[in-house]
Amino acid sequence: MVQNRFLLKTEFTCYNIDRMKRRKINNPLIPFENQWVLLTPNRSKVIASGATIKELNKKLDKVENRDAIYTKVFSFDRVISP
Amino acid sequence: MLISFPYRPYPEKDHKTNKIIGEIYRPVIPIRIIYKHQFLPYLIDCLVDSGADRNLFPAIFGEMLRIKVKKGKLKKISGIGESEIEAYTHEVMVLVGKLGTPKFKTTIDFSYEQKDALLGRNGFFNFFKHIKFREKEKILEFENS
Repeated sequence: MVQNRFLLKTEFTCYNIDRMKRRKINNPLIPFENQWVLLTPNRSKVIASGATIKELNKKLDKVENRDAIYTKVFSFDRVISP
Repeated sequence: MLISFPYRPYPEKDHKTNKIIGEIYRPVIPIRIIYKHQFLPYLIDCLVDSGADRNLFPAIFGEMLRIKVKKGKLKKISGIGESEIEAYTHEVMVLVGKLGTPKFKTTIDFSYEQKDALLGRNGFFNFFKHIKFREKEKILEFENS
């Protein structure tokens, strides 16, 4: 019985560690701080990036997908209060 | 007609450790702008800003639509602190979302000093019956008038 309790506690602890691992931030914008990016329509990937829109456009030889999205990636330690 | 968009997550960094510590969700929606039958090749993410009087975009988007930005009506815009920027107003067509509905003719102020695209009350909010910021669910809802 004591052993069972110990096992339960151990399982619970492992489960928590697993949840903590899963909470790791996995945002496709992370490598592109302060840049302009073109995102796929479902926002899962960055197609191209540049310091400015002009620079970004230079990297886009042809129209990739008309539903792709221009996004400004703000500084990650900046709070926006327009 | 009710359209909804989820808030978008942006990484958040700790000043001291310089490590990513979480995400900030913002009411950002994709729009398409059209000027004299020309439209940009892609959608633009814009911050829906209830504190902004008008729509304000970086001038580069106007130039991409072959708008002669500085020929527009000059507007002086102030925001945080004492800074003031100059912008030029032009009439455009705005399509909301991938499907392009709703769409309406409106004005955008283009500025060479503005870095991101803002959708404000006069020129965007006023085309809807309701705009609801559902903060807990992180969803933005638009209802057509």
